[in-house]
Amino acid sequence: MHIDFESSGGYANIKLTYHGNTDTLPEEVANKLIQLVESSRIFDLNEKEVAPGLSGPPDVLHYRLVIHEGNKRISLSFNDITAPNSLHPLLTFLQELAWEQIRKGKSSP
Amino acid sequence: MNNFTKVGSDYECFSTFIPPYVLDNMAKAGIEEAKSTILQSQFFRETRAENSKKMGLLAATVPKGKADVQVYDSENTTVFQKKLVRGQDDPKTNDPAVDNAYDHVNDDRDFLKDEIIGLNSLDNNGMNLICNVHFGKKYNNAFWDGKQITLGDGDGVIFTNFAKSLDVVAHELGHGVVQFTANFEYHHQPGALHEHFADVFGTVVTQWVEKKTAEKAAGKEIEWLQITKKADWLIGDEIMGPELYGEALRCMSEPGAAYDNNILGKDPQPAHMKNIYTGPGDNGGVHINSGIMNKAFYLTAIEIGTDQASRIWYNALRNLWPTAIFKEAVGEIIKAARLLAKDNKVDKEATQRVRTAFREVGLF
Ligand SMILES: [Zn+2]
Repeated sequence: MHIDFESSGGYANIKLTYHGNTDTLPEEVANKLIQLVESSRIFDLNEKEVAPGLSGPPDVLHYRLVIHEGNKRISLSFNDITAPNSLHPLLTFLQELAWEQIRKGKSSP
Repeated sequence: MNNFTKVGSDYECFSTFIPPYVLDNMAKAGIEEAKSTILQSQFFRETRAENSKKMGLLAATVPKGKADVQVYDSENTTVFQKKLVRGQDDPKTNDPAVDNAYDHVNDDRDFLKDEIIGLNSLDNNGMNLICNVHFGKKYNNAFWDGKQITLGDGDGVIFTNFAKSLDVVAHELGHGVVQFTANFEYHHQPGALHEHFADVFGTVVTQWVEKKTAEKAAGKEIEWLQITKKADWLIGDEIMGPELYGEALRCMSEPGAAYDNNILGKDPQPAHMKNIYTGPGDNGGVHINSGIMNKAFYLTAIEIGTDQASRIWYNALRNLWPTAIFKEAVGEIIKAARLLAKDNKVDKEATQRVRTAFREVGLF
């Protein structure tokens, strides 16, 4: 499974990115990602239902998430308000992974 | 078939459509009445622009709230108004996030009521001030959603708890004041004005509290200009975590100088129109280009005092409109300075000071 993630905006205006492939990630991380993707039921979401309006509300975080798994692919844009609750644990973990990469100097915001 | 439920065609800065599950969350949180608030505020805006007589009617028909502070605990979920943990005048809870948020929102309300601005809560109609703390898990953010503010705990590494900081709370509530006045669209220059005015509220409320504290300690009144000159003009410095200690997110006196490190990179804010950001990121640079206007506010305040600068800016804000760009804001700010000087509400030379400040950032 391939994951492309980006979060941006917010009070601090920080852009985070994370790209991962569960085939090459450490087993523990890969398993957690697979489990969170599954529990988020992301492939059941409708792109248009979670898409935010053109602007605002002020300071919410904006997210872009693309997931490929076998012949399934989903690409979503949403924000803190439009994201369903089921997605939040996955978002939290992806942000943690992105921050960890930055702290290790592998990527920059 | 479209599953969206239309809540309001221009619900403040809120997206035009809200998916059903978001509405469910709102309903669960007991904010069904948001719909009537939306309609009221929409009416309020249209009325303000078009017909001041109708405004009187609105004031007479909408019941006046008590501007109560209400702090809710999201209990590390993403549910709004999950559990009321401290209402107006309730005792301390011993949860620092709750108690800090409560104190900061109280300070903000008291500042708005003070003679500099003279507002009864964000909407000047006594709306309750609702704050959610412990939102999400390790959530590195704070926001205003059109009705309430929401604060994350931070991850404890990059950011600490957002409730700790008065300038964060006052910034988010500042977005509320903007919503009930100019109601800028949240993109490009109007969006940068949204951010600018929110930063102004953030710093001004902080300075107002510093002034009160200093006066209490000294047992006498202290000149505004003294406070203005001692202020750090930093935004977000109180929430920087251990790995970013000493940094800030924005610097109003020197935009572009708030941070420079391996984790966040370099502060991208310009301090002059010649360096304005024109890319698509950050909704067209709403948190970036606000630096230009922030610098002009700082330059004005250090000449005439933060109190007088705030009075001028707020009067301009009341007359601005959703699509206003920087030049139009400058026009209104200069006009406000002139009118207030004529009424002896700010110094005679305020208009010149404002003009000089905008000249320095390339906006006049
Ligand atoms: Zn903001």
